[in-house]
Amino acid sequence: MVLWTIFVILTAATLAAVLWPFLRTGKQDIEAAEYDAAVFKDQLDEVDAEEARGVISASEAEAARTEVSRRLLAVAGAGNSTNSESADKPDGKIPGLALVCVFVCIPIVSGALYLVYGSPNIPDRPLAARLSQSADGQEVGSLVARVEARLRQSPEDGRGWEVLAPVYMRQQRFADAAEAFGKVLRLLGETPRRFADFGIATVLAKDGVVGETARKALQKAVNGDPQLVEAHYWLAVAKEQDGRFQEAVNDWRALLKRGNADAPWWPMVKQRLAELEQREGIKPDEEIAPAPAGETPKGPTRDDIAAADGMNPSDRSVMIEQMVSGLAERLKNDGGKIDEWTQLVRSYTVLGDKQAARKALGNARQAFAENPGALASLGKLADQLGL
Amino acid sequence: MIAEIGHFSLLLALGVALAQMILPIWGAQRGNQALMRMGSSAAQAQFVLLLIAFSALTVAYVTSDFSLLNVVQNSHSAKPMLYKVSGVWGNHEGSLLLWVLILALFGCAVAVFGRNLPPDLKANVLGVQGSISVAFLLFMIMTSNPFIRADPAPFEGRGLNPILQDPALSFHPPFLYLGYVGFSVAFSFAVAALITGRIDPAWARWVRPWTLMAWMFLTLGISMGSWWAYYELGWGGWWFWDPVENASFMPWLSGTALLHSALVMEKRDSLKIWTILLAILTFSLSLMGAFLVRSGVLTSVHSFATDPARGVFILGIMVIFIGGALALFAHRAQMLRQGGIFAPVSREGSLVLNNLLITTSCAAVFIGTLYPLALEAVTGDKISVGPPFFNATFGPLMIPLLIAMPFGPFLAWKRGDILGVAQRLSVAAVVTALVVIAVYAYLARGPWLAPLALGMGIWVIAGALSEVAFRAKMFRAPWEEVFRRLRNLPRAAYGTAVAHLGVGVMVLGVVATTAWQSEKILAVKPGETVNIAGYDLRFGGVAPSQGPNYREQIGVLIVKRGGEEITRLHPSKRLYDAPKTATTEAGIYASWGGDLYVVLGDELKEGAFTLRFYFNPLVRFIWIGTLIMFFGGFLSLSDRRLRVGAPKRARAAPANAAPAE
Amino acid sequence: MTRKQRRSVLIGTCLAVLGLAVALVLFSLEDSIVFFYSPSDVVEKNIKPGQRFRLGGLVEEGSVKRGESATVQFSVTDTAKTIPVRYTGVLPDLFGEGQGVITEGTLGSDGLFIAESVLAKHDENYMPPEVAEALERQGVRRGGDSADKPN
Repeated sequence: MVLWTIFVILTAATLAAVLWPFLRTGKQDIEAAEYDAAVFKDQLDEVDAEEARGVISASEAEAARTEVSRRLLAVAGAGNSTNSESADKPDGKIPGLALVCVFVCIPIVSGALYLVYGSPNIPDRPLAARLSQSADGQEVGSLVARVEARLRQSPEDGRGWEVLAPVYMRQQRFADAAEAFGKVLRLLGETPRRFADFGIATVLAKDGVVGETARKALQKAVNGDPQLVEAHYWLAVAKEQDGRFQEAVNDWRALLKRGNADAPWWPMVKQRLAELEQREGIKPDEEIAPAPAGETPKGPTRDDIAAADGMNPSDRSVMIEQMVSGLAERLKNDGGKIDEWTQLVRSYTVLGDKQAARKALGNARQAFAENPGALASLGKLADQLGL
Repeated sequence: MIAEIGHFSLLLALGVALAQMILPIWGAQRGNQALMRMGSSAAQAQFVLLLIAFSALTVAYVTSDFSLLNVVQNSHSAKPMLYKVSGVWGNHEGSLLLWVLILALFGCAVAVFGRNLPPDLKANVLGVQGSISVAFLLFMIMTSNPFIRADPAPFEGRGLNPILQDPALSFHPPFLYLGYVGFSVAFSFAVAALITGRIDPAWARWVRPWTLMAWMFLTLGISMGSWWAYYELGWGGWWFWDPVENASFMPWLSGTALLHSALVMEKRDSLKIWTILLAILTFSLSLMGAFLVRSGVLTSVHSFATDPARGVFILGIMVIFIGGALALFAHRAQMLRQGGIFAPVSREGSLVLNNLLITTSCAAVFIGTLYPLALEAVTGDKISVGPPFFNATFGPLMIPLLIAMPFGPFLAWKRGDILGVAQRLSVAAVVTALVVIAVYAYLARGPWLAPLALGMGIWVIAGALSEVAFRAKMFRAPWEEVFRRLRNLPRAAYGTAVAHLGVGVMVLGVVATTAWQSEKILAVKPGETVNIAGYDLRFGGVAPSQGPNYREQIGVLIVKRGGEEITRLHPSKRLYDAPKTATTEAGIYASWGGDLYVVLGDELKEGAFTLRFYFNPLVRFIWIGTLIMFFGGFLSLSDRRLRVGAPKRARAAPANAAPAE
Repeated sequence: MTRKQRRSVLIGTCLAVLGLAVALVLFSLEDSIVFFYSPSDVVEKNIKPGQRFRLGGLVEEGSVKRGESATVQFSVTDTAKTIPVRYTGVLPDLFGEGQGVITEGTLGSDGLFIAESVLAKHDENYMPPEVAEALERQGVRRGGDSADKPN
């Protein structure tokens, strides 16, 4: 309401300022020609001054004077003629049409445009005020900003980076995540898990292109711990990107055979394998069961997220919201696995919609009411996200 | 709320600009005083509204309000305060807001200070200014609105290009815009004169201070940009004939020509068609600059990246304004009677030569800048036209200009006496000859033409000094009289002499740096010493360091001359946090003789680094020269003569002056 | 001088200056035009050694070799063809493997491109438009939101 009051005052003040000349009685102003004459009189004075100073000779001065005087006469003549003309014209009266024009331009055009482009309902969000909010009801983003501010003071705090890095991943700030994981590696020592995290973040930061740095890190990860499925997966992607399709196919097949078809990653790898096989005309391996129809999670895949990273912010948020609402719809209607529910809750949190996150959590608890393990993990999730 | 108030003010400003576009011109047609006066009140209201909008955006930047998309994309909470502020105009949307704000500032200035203008001319000028505002406000609101909100607001911004985090660059755009946009006033005056049909010496007198002001700011803006490129890009050069540099240089050239031709028009009622045309062309070139920089047809260090819709919109604005003005010009041109006649050798003649050479060189720059675009559009071939082209075309055209420059102010109006002038310039000629011979004797290396080119700078300086000496009757009259004359000399005369002197100083810097620059690229290990231009530089190695929002590697070089330590240079490579960007900070030791300039390169084996050394002789003279030119413009502007009073009756009846809001 | 003579002197001067300018422009355009080629263009169009041009593409991963001196060798690729490049000097801040570059210089008879200048943009997501286009022709598409960042 305050805002609209200010708008009204601003508009009224503007109208008053613009219409100010109308409010005064119109006196007969000076003729245009007299303004010209003023200039030429000044010029005559200058010629005199220059002659007195000896800058120009007497004959030059005389010639200049003649010329300027001639101009002076010319405007005087013109002035007289226009004078008689304009004396007949109405002067200083306000044409009604002009008033209409002013009112159309200022309040109506501006107001209409504001209704189209303005966002009167969004409050200002200066950062300082957001950071000083009380601890509860804080968004993940605000916590991140605080941790970042602290880490800027003590950039060698490896623990801090280790906390921050996965949050960056969830916020899809992959480049930041990659750097944070890199710092964790340097500050806290190398483990296969950390190599894998760093490698994956680096890949996602590059929109899914597996560069040399990422490939080396992923290789170190699987060398240290062959169980790191995701690292294996991306190494195979690297081979695919290098054009070594058969090797990529072999790797993925090995991965699929090793893993359980119930594992959350399984259908995704399967799908990607199928695509590659089809594209390159490689005969599918009969030993691998085709992914059961409808089993493929429709949640955002890494590729989707990677694609989202390349978009502009508004497109990205639209895409993410679409993916999240699609997931929510599906889980509500068909039910789903605990991982998918977890993903949904996390997504809402990332989008800053805590209410929806709580609701999703509640729905998940209902869906898994008879599964104590799932309930426990949901409880952990709630704590973790501060729900 | 502040952001929304800013947004609403911006939209109100559009409404006011619409009224300003329609009503005063209509009033001028009908002879209605109240409607004409509305131009003034609307111009002032528009400025105040845009100031509110600009302040609101600035507040959002200063408080890191990431609920504005524009702030998210271009700011970061960890950025130093100075760059939060300069971040406002360090991006397309914000800089457009600044552009429009300055446009309104000039409109407001015409409204307030233009009391000496005939009401109908003033009304038309403000009407045309209003129409330019409308076009750019529409452009901003429809394609590049800085007040679009981000909801939910992210917690951190995406930063500002660190290369733009630099004091000189922070204030380079405002000055540049003051120049670019200032020429809109000359444009509006030209169009207004074409509408009223009164194109006379008085018009030239009224338009000159505005042109001069715009020219001064553009001079300063370009100079600051060049200075920034010199020490921030780390390429050792001061001008790269980069398309965006050219985009600012072309209006400057054409504006310089306009300043000189308006002089002829004011004094002699001559060159009227040409002057009006130049006023239109100068602002057209400014618009083209805006188009090139913002549409993405050019790629450059300075250009804002882009969106085809914006390019099309600006192209539309250009077509309407340039086309409309030229059509009006064609319609009215035949009614212009040519005024005073003059001999080829005369002050007018010299100014015509000046105009001819400057506009031709402007055309050469224009061709070099746009030819690659035209060729790509026609044949699809991608080419670039580099500095050699500009040096080979622009350079030769400047030679006659510089030679003729000292003659101009000495020549009388109407018919000059070239032999007499030559006699008066004989001292300057002797001084120049002596310097050239001395340089040949002293410096064996370098291109053989360079001392002659250097002589041209000396010639221009000596010519400017001779002019003042002649006018004051120095060495020909008793000293009391000389001092009296010096005191009484009009400021405008000093302005001309000082500005010309500035050109000479700049020429010295340009020639010396171009001809005698020394450069070395070496792999240097810590402890090694490099010799360049008589300096010994000992490389002490590289150490890491932490800045407010960047980390850097700083090299240390101990500079000695004749065994004595003079200074230490610290070239560095910086890595900024947000966005992750590396920049090079050159280590520069400045002296009157020239700059020692060191750039730190990549690390090689065994702690060695690639280092690039330059010695740029007299390079500071380039920027000092432009500052002198600026000062010359200021002297002229302060001359009483350019501030002609309003007609006597107006002074007697102050109620008739422009409404004071 | 009569009015006519005066006019002819003025017009003559104008024509002389314009003629000079046109001649200068034509001569120097001839000499100072530099074409932009991708590595594939260089191979397909059979560019002769000694011709000056701009070569643009990506710096091939693992190709940058620094020696003892300030001379660097690397390869520019558009993924279809690759051209080795030698450059002496300070590389731009954002020069790196996998990044887009534009180099200007001449091709040696041994197929080695001797660069006199190397340009890379001051924004890590930036890809010079010429390079992006050349890469697109080779079917390489790389994301990156360079489009909405001011440079």
